[in-house]
Amino acid sequence: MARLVAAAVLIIVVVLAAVAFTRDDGAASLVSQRTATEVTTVDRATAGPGRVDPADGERQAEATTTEPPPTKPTSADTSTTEPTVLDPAASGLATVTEPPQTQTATDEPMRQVIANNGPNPGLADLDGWLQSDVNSLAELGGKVVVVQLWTFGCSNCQATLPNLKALYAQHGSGEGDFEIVGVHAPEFAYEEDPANISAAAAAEGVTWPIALDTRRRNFHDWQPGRSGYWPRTYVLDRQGNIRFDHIGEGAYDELNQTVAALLADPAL
Amino acid sequence: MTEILFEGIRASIEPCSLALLLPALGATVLGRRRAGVVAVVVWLIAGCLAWAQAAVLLSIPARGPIGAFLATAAVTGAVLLWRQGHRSRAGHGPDILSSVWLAIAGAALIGGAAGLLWRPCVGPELGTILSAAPGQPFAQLIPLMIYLAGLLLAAIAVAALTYSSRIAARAIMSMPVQIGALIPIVGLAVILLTGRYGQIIGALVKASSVS
Repeated sequence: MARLVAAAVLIIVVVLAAVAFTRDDGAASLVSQRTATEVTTVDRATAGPGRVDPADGERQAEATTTEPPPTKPTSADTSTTEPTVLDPAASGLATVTEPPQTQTATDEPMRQVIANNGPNPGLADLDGWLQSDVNSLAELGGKVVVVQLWTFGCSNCQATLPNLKALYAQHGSGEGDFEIVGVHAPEFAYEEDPANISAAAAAEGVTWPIALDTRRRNFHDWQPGRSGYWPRTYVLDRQGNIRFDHIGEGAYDELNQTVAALLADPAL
Repeated sequence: MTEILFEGIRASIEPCSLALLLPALGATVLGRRRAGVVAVVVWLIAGCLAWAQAAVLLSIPARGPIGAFLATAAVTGAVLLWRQGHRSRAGHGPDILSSVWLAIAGAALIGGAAGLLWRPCVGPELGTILSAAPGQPFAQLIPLMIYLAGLLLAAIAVAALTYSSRIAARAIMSMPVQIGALIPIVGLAVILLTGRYGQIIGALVKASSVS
């Protein structure tokens, strides 16, 4: 009997593994297909509910007190974990995550409210920069900046690059009010060599500035607690406040929309 | 939920999973006739610890003195598993209950040490879980356990193989395989003791050309 059960488990395991490795990887294909302009469709599997959800509870509390109140009520189950609220007209996501709109009685335009998680921790004690004329985040003040903690050997980091490249190209490739900074925090020893990083960046088409965080000090400063994750993507507004925070792949639409909203309205 | 499971299965071949998967496989092989119990306990303990850290309920740096403690725990776990396996094999008045508890204890120690060392690479599903975990910790426990079930599916397969085929069981319980199963656990202990995760796992990744 035990042998039969074990055989059944083995068959199930083999089938699961076969399906997992042979089916179309939705995440990868979506990344490759998407461009930064495709912000009107949302794939729940890749976007997910996790958008602005910093590990630091104090920071989150601060955000809720400093933000202007939303013009619409938010449901109890989403308001605590989904502080980023974007224009419903621009995204199908809003129709899924937001409660019924009750403010239509007034003719006020829908306000965009993007959570403000406070100032970024900055980049200190770096091991250098690649592909950059700047030497600090402060020098990028006045720009909307995407900061991504990554390492070149991480496949999940690589999967985020097509969207970042499209976003970079769409918003001036560093020439305008938008910049991307890749904070390279190596996981393995062979990822520490700047020559390897440069080669990987060239191979992947990464043209934005790369801050070398070889000792991972900034990697941990930006991620409170013991755990640090690759990749982790933030959007900083023109004042350097963190307005978007996402761990891992996905949430491309929210990222793109946050950048677009911050660029379109400097007062946000 | 199936997407989470599949992402976990796909992650099992990623370099960043080696620090968890290899010790789990080693422990399962050392579990011999208790391989199923060992695989499940490793999964439960590693999952709970990974969840607690993701939810920022627990913050244990797997280095320094704590690393040394965890290294000792991992080695102790291997000794317990070895002992329970050979008690069973030697057949001198096998105390089944005692053997099960030794297996559980050994698996828990190894699963705990590996779970605290594990640094995941984060795909879309895990990203959603980890992003939401600090705000909704309990809602993310089951999704994270499902993800880890996928990641540790190979250990479950080894356990199932042990029970399903006499030939496979004989091979798994042979001395060379048993000694080989100690290697990832000793490696885990060395990494925890020295803090040289990047060098040791990195060398393994380079050697195996996984990435």
